[in-house]
Amino acid sequence: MKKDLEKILQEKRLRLDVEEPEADLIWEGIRSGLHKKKAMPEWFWKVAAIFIFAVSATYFIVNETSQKKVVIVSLSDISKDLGNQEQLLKQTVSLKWEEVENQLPSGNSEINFLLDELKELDCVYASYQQDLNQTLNNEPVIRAMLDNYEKKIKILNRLLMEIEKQKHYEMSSENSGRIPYDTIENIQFKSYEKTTTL
Amino acid sequence: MEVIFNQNEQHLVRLCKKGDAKAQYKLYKLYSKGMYNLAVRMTNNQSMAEDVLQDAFIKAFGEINKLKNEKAFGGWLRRIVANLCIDASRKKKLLFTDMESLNESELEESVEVDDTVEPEQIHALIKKLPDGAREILVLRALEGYKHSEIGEQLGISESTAKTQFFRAKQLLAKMINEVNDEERSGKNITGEAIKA
Repeated sequence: MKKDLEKILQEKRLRLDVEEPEADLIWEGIRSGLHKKKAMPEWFWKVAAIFIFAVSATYFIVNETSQKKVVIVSLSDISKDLGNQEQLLKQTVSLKWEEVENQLPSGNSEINFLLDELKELDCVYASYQQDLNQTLNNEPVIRAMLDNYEKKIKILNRLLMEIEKQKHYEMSSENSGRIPYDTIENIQFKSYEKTTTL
Repeated sequence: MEVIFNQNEQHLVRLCKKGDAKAQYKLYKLYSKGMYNLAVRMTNNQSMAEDVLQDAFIKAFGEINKLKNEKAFGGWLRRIVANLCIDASRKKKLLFTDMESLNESELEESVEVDDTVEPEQIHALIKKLPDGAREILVLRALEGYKHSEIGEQLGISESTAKTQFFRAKQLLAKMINEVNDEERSGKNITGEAIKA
């Protein structure tokens, strides 16, 4: 008798199980698989994961904050020799600056230009210090920092020379009755101002 | 799908939830044959079916606490076995050949065979079906999966699953009819020989 194949399959479904597995052999595999799972229960992995996360998070936070705390103020933080060199240069700079500051005249364009140069060097030095904080023992930056001091000393020397020159000029003009150059410049400027306002 | 379950099995499942090894073995003995036959029909490969059976029981016992309805253990286990078979066939990269899609009325046409066919023969012939067709036939006709579920599991469209199922039925029917015809002609020959 002909019948729908799907119906036959559903009716005979349980009787289709005709093959016998190697039950004991497979059970051994299941048993050892379950034993492995038992040896490392799920909670163990959860605890292990939390522990690893906590340790790595602590390490990361400590590392980050300690890195932020290490701020190199001077080259002596890197080595004693560098610290001594810097100290010597710093002292020279401050001594020369004191000397310049005490006799600084106003209104001299050459001197103003040199003072601007000094300010510029201070800005450059600050940026070098930031670079050094980030890269730590960076030789080119250290060299540039020392070079910066040398440049400052040269400019301060030039400033002292210019001050000396001006003093000498003023004295000689007083003796000869001539109006100093700076005073001429001021008169010219004032007269120029008058012509433009009129 | 017929659900066979008794109080003893429910008790075994409860014990398995507590990690009782004896109960696990008893439950395994109850279901191993059925699950193995499902796996062997799906994969047509004895060693692959054994691997699937082993992995399925390890997974089932390992995750048995997730099973809320203790009476549904058999159906839940069958799903695990079927899914592992699908995973195994994915590794083989089953290819479903493009077939001309059939319309709804064609797909609902009844495929009929002689009712006298023996279960052993059906089981053997299902195993002879091409890989994709065999999986779809087992999932749909024997495991009660919907076409949409089959499509989702095998990564094919619902209409392809329907067409493949229809073709698989046609192919199985053809094979059953051939076996029946051979048997009939064999009986005739022996009958004629006896007469002679």
